[in-house]
Amino acid sequence: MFNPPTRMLGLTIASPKGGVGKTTVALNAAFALSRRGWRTLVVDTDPAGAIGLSLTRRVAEAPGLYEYVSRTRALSEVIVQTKVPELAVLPIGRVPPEEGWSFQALLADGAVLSRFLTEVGHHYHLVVFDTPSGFGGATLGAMRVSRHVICPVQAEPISARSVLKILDVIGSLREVGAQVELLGFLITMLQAREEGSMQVAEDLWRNLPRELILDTTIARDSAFLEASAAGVPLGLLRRRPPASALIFDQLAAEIEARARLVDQAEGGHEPISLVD
Amino acid sequence: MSRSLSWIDPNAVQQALSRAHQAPGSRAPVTPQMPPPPPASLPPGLPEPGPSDLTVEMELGTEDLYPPDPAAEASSSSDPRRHGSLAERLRSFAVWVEAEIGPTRWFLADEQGMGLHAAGVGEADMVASAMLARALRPLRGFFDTDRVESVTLELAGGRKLYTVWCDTGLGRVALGLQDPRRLTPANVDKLRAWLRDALHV
Repeated sequence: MFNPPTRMLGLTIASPKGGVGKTTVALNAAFALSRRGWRTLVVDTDPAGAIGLSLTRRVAEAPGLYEYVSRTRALSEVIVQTKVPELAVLPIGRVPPEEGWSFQALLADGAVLSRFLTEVGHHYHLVVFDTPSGFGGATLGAMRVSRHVICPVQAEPISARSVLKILDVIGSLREVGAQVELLGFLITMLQAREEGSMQVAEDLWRNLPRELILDTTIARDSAFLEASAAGVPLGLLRRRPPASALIFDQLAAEIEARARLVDQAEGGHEPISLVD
Repeated sequence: MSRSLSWIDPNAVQQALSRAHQAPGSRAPVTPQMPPPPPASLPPGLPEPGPSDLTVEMELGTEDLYPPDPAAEASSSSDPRRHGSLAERLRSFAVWVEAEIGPTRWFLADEQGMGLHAAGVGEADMVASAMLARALRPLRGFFDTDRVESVTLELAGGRKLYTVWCDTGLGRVALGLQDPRRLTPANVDKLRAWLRDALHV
C-alpha cells in the first residue's frame, strides 16, 4: 500500500526538561508508526532505562545498547523483537552505575550511534531514539545522527522554557554539520479544564510559528500510567484501546507528512474504492 | 498588560530559529562539549579535593528550620517579581539576589536540572544540583524526614557550593550559589520567600 523511503530515518525525542513524556511519546509513536507499516526500532539511550521500565521486566533487565557499544554483544543479540512484526526495541542494557557518565560521553559525538545506524539501516525504516532529559551525551549524540527531533513540551509554565533551549541546541549542532531539524514541538499533559495548562498551550500557539508546533496534542490521562504499569503501549492496553491511544495514530500520520516518509512519486495517495 | 507566565519572546524565537534553520556546517566545528565527568563525590566544575577536605552540611526536614521572618515576605501586589512572564519574573528575582547576596555566581534550576537562570555558571552545575537531590533521597529514611532542604559543599581552600531547594507554585526548584559572600540563615529565608513569590501561579 505504501512505498518505504529509500533511506532510514532517525527521529529523536528530546527535551531539556524531565517528566514531559518523552518515553511515552517515543514508545507509543513508534507503535503507531509500526502499525502503519513502517519497520520501526525504538532505542533507549537513557541510563535510567525508561523504555524497559515501560515494558516488561524482561526488557528492563535485558542487555542492550550498552553491551553493543562495549562490544560484548552483537546487535542481533540485543534487539528485542516485539509481537508486532514491524516493531522492535533496543533497551539501554545493563549500564554499571560507575560507568554511566563515561557511557554518556561515549555517545556524545555521534560516532558510535552513527555506526549503529549504519548496521540497522537496511532493516528499519525508522529509528526512534528515546533520550534522557537535558542535553547530555546521549541526547546530543542521538540528535547528531538523526534527521528530525520532536520536543515534547508539557503544558505548564516552566516547561515552556525548553522551547528556546532546544532551538539553540539544534542551531549549535547544525553549525558543526549535523543535519537535524525540528519536526515540531508536541504539547503534552494538556489539561483542557485547567486554565493554567491551557494558557501555556495558547502562549505556544500564539508566540511560535505555526509550523513549529505539531497539530497533535497529548492530554493528561490516567491511561498512560495504566499502560506503563501493564508494560504495554497504550494501543495494546485493551482489546478496544482507550481513546487516548488513537491520538498517537494522529501523531504518526503527522510525523509521516512532516518527515515526508512517503515518496510522493511512488503513489499510494489515491483513494481506495470502498466497493467494487 | 501583564504577560502570562509562559509568554515567550517572539524575537528570541526568531533569532533561535534563524540558527536552527541555517545550512549545516556553516561554522568551523566547535563540538558542543559535555561537562567533564565528575569525580566520585563532587559535582562537575569543582576542583579536585585532597584527602578529607570535603565537608558536607545538610539541612533536613521542613522549611521551618529557620522560622520565617515576616519582613522577608513579599511586600505588595505591585512587586514586579509577582507579575509578567517567567523570564521577566526571573530577571527581577536576579536583580534582588545580586543586591542581597552580593557578587557571586549562582543559578536556578528545576528538579531535573533544567536551567531557569544562570549567572556565571554552566550547565554542569545545574545538572549537579539535580544529581545531588537524587543522590540524597535515600538518606530520608535514615533521618526520618521527607526531604533535604539544602546542601553546602565545602571544598579545599574554603570554596563553597550552596544549594537550597524550595517548593514553589511551579514545582520544586534548586537555587545554587558558589561562594556566597553574605549568606546567613536570614538570607536563606528571604531567598525562599522571594523565590516563592517569583514563581507563584
